[in-house]
Amino acid sequence: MSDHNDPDLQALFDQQPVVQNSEAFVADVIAAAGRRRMHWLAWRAAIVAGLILLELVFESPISHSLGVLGSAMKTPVISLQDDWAAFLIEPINSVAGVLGLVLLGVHVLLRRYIR
Amino acid sequence: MRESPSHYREGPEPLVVSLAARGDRHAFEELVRRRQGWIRGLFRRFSGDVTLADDLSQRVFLKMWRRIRSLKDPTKFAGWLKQIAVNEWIDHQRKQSARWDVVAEDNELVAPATTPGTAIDLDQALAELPAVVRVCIVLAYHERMTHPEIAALTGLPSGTVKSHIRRGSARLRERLIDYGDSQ
Repeated sequence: MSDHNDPDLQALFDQQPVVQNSEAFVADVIAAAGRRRMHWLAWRAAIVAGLILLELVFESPISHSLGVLGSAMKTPVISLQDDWAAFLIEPINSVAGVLGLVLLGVHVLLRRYIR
Repeated sequence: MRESPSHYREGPEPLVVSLAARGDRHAFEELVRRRQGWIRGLFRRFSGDVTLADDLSQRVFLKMWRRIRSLKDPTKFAGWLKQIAVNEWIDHQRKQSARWDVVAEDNELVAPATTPGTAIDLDQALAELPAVVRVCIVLAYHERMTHPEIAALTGLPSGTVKSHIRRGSARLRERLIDYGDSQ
């Protein structure tokens, strides 16, 4: 408790009636949570249906895009000779490797400084 | 009437929180049941409006359900929930006015809603305070928080919190003298 609180005001606050528990309120919250979940599931289902439709109608644009993205991710960042340094760096010497390291760094920083 | 299984009702809160974080709906329901009075009471003091208080409380519990996996330490659940509630109230205030945390020079002398000498209750007196002062006063008296705790929770500078509580307390005393006499 704050030492600076006015004792008369504190007494007045303490005298205020406590809000009684209400099962109706609990039921409302649970129902609202259920509605939100259904809404979220409906959106997911709509997105999946849309993606499937795109694949069927436009000759697999998503599969094609994923293939292109996969190739791009494998692109080496640095050209290396066949020596021991190349052997060590090879696992992370790609766009995907660098992206993974950056995301890991961001994750560590967020955990340390924000939470 | 909906009922949680009895073992949830008897379980220690950190355990119930851990279960809710794993997606257990009964545990979530039990947490709402246990903490509803506190959160609804806090919003009633903030807003002075029973319907608005219950709407905002419901939003807080829905946010709690969505974010509970991010709570690393279940023993800190109460403080974490209070932070969500205070943020919800501050967001609500920002929707009313982007500069909710500024007290206008002339705001301290706002004309009372009641005529002098008329008894008013605590919620009426609180409603006459500027929004940011009301938040500080409610957290100090209703929640019995220290000034540094209020500063940490609201993001306001510690000196500002102290000043708002000092001025708000003086203002409340002034407005409630008649109320105290009429009891």
